[in-house]
Amino acid sequence: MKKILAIFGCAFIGSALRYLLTPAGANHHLLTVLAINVAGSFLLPLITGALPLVVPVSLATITGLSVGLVGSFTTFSTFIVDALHLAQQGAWGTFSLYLSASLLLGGLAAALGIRLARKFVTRGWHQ
Amino acid sequence: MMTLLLVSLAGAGGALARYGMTFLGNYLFYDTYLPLPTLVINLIAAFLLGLAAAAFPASTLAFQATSGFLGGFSTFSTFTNEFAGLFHRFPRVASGYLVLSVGLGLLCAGGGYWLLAH
Repeated sequence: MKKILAIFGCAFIGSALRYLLTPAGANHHLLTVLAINVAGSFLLPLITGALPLVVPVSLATITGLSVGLVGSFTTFSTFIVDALHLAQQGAWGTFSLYLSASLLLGGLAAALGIRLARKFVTRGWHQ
Repeated sequence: MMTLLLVSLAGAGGALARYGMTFLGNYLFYDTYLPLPTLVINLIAAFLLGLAAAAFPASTLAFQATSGFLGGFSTFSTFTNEFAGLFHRFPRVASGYLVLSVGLGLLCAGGGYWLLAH
């Protein structure tokens, strides 16, 4: 029950942040969604892996921050539908660039976050 | 202000739906390396947002609320982290996961859009 409440509260904030950063029809919509998704990919492993070693946090807090905050801050559906719109417009250059940048930078950010979180574990920063 | 509140509530509901489905999915598909729960969730979200994109103009409250719910339901961060985690040990499974997510995601979104636009 604590986990459910933590997810709901954190996801409320994550969704609000995403909405405020991506106003409908703005010019920099694609870049903003890209930045949100890359930032979330990097933050997720740090929250689940490193955060509990740095500060004492409950499992409910970690679940809220990871599943709720970061999970709802980033979005797969808007990423895919924006890419679909680019394809429908025949903007194949932007389409390829958007897809490859999101996947490459997102994957790299996740790998970097996982590595950094592992360093916290091996160095034992909690001591 | 009302839109912000509604979008945030919808997103929070979406995140809970994702949590529930992942819980159920991990129980059902525990013996596979491919992260099926996230894949299925993201494909459903892509299909539904494709439907919504054909049904409502982007500036309407209906689209914003649907997009908020599906943004909370779908997730990019878990997708990339599952990919990065798999890539080290099972590069083929990881690549398959990436191609399936994006390829089927585009097909699902396009299919949803097509269903309502035609």
